[in-house]
Amino acid sequence: MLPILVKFNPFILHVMIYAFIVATLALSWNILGGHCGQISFGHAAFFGTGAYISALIALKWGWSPALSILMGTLIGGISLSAIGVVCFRLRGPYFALAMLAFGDILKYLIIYLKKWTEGPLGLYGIPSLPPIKIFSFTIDFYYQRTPNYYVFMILMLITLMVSYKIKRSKYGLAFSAIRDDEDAAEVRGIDTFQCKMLALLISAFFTALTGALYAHYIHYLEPEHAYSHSWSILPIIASLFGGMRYIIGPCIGGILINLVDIFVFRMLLVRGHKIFLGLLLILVILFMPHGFLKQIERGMRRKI
Amino acid sequence: MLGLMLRAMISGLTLGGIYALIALGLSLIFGVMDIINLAHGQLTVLGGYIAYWAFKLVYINPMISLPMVGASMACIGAALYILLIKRIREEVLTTLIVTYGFGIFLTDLMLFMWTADYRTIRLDLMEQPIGIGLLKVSIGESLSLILSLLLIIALYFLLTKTMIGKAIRATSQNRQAAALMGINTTKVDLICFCIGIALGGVAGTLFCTLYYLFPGLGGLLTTMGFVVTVLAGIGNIHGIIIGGVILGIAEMFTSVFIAAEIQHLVSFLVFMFALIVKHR
Repeated sequence: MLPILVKFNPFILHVMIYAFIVATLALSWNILGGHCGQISFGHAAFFGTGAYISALIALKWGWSPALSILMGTLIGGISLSAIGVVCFRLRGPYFALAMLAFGDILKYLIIYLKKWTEGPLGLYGIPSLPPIKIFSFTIDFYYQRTPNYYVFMILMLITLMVSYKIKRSKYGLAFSAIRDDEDAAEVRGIDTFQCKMLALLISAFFTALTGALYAHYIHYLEPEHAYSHSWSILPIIASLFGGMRYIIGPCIGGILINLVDIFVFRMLLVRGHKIFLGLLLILVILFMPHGFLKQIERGMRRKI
Repeated sequence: MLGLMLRAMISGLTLGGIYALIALGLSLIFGVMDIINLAHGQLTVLGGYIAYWAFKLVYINPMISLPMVGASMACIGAALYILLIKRIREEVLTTLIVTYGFGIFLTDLMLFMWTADYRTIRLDLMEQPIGIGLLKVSIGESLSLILSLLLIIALYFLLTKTMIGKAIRATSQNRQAAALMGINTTKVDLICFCIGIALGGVAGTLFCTLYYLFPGLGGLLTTMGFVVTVLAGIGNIHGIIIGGVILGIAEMFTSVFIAAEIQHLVSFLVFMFALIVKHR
């Protein structure tokens, strides 16, 4: 509905697309971080690899973006989540640190393998999604923002739905048990390793898918940007802000954070707008550790 | 070839000394307070920027401004501890996220104040070479190496020979028992945090005289500190010196003989490997 309301204003649509991307990342991060309690600082690894693999296949081999996105998601998301086999030997903060290092290792690998990835120069002219023809009407992903807007919105809704389904399934219960007390869960007969791997797999899958779609939306990739720590931090801030225990929390948090970042923080301070993001993260933890949805819920209850 | 190797060795030694200083602060804070300070690298860079300003604005030699940087960073550390860390220190993951947030805050604050340009302190006096034959070291490099070693040794004596050192070690071994024996653990925490941050600031100053600073460096330095800490084991001072030097030399050899852009890849690989072997 929004595209019609803003008269297809490309800037606002672009901002909304970014908001959807952050929301999707936050939702998928939350499957691992919120539901399962495994805080990861390295989701940029999945995002960047999904984007890079998809862009490389589309550019170098000339595959259709639809197929290359699939490949990017498979390689970047599913095969990279094999890192869990190694990293899940670690608990709590050590897991977070190992994931942080993992993201950087991949970044330096991309920079080093200049022969295939162009290294720090980056990839230009990544093709957008192929146009879809319905009778005489064409949906073009290159010249118009609106179709891209719907693509990312649908992606976000799918992630939301999957997140909801998981939370309601028996695995959701197992995840909660692991989050609350891993040893107790293990004693109760939950295969904690398998559950954590499943959470990582789903989480990485959607992160890589978002990355791949992002590459074909933005048409340009560069290691420092694709593997930027922002892709790991923004979802964490969004999830915490919205509330990690709510299914819809990260989604609302992501959209709100992004809008506030672009319309308020960047207006106040162009260089160094993340000062406010950092402050926000600290303030959220100090004053509303369960997210603002919890705060609203509490306020509602008080009124009744 | 031999000259190149010697050169890489010496650069690695000085870099390793700085890494060891960063890691020492980090491991002191982690060992005593159980807090993983993810903003440590950013605080290090901040210390470097303070020295840079002292040099640029009032023209103070970085070696003279070093104690001042240490003192001011200790004050910043105290403020940080009282205002922020003290409130959230119960849960490890919360402190992790809060210090990470503080790191983002500091990075962009430095970006705002000093822009993204590379900053460095260059003095002709510090560039003078000393040494014999193939082995040539600049005064700045040798001073940096000696200073970092001296500081580490000083800290070692502080921890082993003084009363406050005893209190710190007792607190790191068993917090509750230490409190029952009449040690003011909050004070110990405060002192440790100040010393740790001050060591970071000194490391930043030394870094600034040899290499260059930019706001985004902080995250990298934090990770380097962790690599050394994890390699050495928490609270192991000999290990930290050795770990720092090994890491510095490994990085410099990669940089010289393989490719400069993957200098840090080695450390990250070592980091993951050491984490997985040691902490499962």
